[in-house]
Amino acid sequence: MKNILVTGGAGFIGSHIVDALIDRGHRVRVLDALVEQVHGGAGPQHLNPKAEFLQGDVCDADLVNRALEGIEVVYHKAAEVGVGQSMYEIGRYVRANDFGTAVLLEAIVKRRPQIKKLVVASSMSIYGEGAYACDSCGPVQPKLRPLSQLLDRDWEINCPQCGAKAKPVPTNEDKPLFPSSVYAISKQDQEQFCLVVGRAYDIPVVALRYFNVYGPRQALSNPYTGVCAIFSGRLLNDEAPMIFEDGEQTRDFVHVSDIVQANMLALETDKADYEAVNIGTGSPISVSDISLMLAQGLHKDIKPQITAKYREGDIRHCVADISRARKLLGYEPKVKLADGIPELLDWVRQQQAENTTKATAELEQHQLVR
Amino acid sequence: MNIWITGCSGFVGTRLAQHLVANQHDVTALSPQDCAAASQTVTIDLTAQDSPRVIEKLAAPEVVVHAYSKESGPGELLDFVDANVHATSNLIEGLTQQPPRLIIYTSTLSVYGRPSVIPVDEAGPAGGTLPYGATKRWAEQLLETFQRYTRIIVLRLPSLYGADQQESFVDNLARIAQRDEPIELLARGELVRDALHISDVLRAVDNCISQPPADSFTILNLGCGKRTTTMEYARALVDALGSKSDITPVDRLTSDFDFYADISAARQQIAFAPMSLAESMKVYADELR
Repeated sequence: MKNILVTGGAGFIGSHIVDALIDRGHRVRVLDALVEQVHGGAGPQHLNPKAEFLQGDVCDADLVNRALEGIEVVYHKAAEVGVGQSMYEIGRYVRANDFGTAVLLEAIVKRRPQIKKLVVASSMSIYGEGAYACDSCGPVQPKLRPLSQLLDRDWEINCPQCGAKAKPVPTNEDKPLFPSSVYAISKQDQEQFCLVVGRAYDIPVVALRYFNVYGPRQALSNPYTGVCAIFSGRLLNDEAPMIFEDGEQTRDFVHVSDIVQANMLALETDKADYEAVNIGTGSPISVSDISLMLAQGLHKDIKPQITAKYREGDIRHCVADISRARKLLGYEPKVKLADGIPELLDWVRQQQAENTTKATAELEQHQLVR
Repeated sequence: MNIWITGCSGFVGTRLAQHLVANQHDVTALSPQDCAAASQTVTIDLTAQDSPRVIEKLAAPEVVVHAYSKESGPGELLDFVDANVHATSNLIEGLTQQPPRLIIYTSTLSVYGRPSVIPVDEAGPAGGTLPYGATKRWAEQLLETFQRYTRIIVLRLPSLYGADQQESFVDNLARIAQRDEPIELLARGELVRDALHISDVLRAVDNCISQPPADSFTILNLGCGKRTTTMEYARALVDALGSKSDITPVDRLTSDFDFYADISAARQQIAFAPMSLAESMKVYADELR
């Protein structure tokens, strides 16, 4: 039994981790600010009653220091989450994700050797575009598509060397990072901070790079995150999901229980210490197909609206190469999309979804959708 | 021209303000303290959460020189994040509604950390070692996201020297040389270092303002442009000062490493032409006198 702190432990992913830790007999303390955008001004709805709860900001050094009292393991899940919104609420994202992590790390360093492990939530967004292969040039790592290409509505990626169309391939952890939003930069900073400070002070750190996470408890009330939640919310309101570009862009959707699995394995083994590890499924699916699966599951005869617009900083394809997770953590994704979507939709049906038009209108106002 | 300078109380910011005011620009310092070198000061703490709202209410500048920074050296991790990353994010958020036509960011060659090959060019892997180089790099990345609104030029600066600078290795040599005391150079004086007199940076900023590169986001290394050892710096300095200091190479090792930057991009894109070592040291010696 360990004493474990989970920052952001009342949130979507954090609360599932808290449940799993308590199920395994650990004593858990949660530090969570209950941000209104995520929690809708309500209390901690998913907080395990066996967890000790501290409400507050991870930027509050005194509170963080108190939260670490007696703690041996820290799961750092607290973060502002939302690619589009981060592009105009810049200070807020940097404060919460960069500054908050620095506050936590300083407090951890001051308490060493008390803290035996830190598991930090990172994100596939730090890669920017995923990895690609060109028939002529081999493996290539393109950056974001240039504006001129997007204005021509030419969506697929060109090989940066010869200009021919390149094919997406699984992205491994060695791919250079090209974060293309303030959110992605702040997640990259969080990860690097934790890994570098961990190495410097011999505090084992595991950074888990989550791909597109979905599942119950996902905040439908937050119109700024999670394409599954956003599409479900619109479908529940009998509105067509709005899809940017042509809908053929692909992502790797991973069920929250597989994210929990990876987090538990990171605690149990030391093989992934000081490493960054992709956590996804390795299977790509197009955004259009996700929309259709959700509509079908909700018994809504609503086709997605393909806008042919593009969103600033969006990537075309990114799917995880999970070889490192398999090798170091013994991780194996268990929930297939066909099984995970109905469970998500059971959750969705119980929820009041916010209208996401507001979020899109804000992006348009800041000229981030064109 | 209406120009804002952040970090006006530091060495680079103060010299920039003096220089731009002398060149008839209207310089506003965005600073927590009054900045005597600027035309006026707007009192603001860029690390404060409400700073974007304060910036939004100000009359828009044409150019912003963002020199606010926690400089290299000891310090708490939080201080580096706050000064280098958080302040930058607040600045660009505040400028979103009324972007200037140009932002010049004074970054650092420390973002390269310890490069595997020298001279290092702008394509070299950046990220540096925590916390100074990494946090300066993160600020660069934040600025890169702002290129949709305006043109950004990142100047990666080497070690800078000049009167009133306290920290650089050339300034340390100068203090010893002015006292005619013996100068000991570690690693037999063979260590390659990159350093510039501040006036070279001021000219680079002038060129960025008058003839910026066409791209919306440009990173440029500034530096002396050639392999220069600590022995060469010391000899040029002693000569320029007319010092009687003996220069002794010693065999002791140092944690410093050979470094200099490839400045061909800056030469090409902003006509950057640093002074020769002898010229540079003469200017510096005249300042010290």
